[in-house]
Amino acid sequence: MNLLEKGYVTMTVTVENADGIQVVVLEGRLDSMNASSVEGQLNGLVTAEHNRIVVDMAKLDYISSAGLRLILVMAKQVKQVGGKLVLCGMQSHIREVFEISGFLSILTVVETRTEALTSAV
Amino acid sequence: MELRLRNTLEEIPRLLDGVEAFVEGLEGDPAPGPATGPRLGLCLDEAITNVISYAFPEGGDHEIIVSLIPNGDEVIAEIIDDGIPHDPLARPDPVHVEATLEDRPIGGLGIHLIRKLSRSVAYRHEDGKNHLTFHIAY
Repeated sequence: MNLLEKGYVTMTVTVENADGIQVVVLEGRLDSMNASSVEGQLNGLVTAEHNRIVVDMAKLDYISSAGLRLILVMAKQVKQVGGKLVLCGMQSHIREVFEISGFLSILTVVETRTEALTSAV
Repeated sequence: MELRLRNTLEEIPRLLDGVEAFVEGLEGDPAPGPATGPRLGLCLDEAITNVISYAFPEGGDHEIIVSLIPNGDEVIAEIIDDGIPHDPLARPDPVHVEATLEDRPIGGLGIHLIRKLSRSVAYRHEDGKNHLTFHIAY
């Protein structure tokens, strides 16, 4: 999946499956232009059966409040179906945005994908 | 440096490219730290996204002018638009970072981020235009 049709490729989203856990890999810049398109791509990802999600942000260079909203929506969906959402791989400036938004205290955030897969089980 | 943007969200990538190039070109002592560029880009994105989304209820083509000026150990950013008068700082910060996941509203984060990431932020309406100015430390 990518946003080639936008003409300006700033973001790619890939969903991988790791032993029943869905790993969402975000790459590039998640800004107010492409957030709704990314939300569309992730629509339907969280279900009662598929409720364990890892979001790998190691290659995410930028996130704005539009991207934070998307993560918050996903977290609420996962909570509703009794699943688990774990975020990993944040660069320091991305982590700062999550911290000042108060998101670090309401979301599970770990360093590596390996840790994330362990805590999402 | 001055950037002139059209009132469409498709301009946001060009804005962020422009900010990166501007910060890379800053020389001298003191020099910007690794957080300067990301903070500046984020604050501009949030403020300009608000302008594009709410300042032009009747649509049409408008120009948003962004100026970036190095000032000692900080960058002064100013955003000027000819949209409807709107002071984004008029209301108290609506974000309560202590709220639980269920209680967190979806939204209101943009201006919260600008307030927290900048040294100071100010709004004025002058010559029929909105001016939002903020200072980002190195």
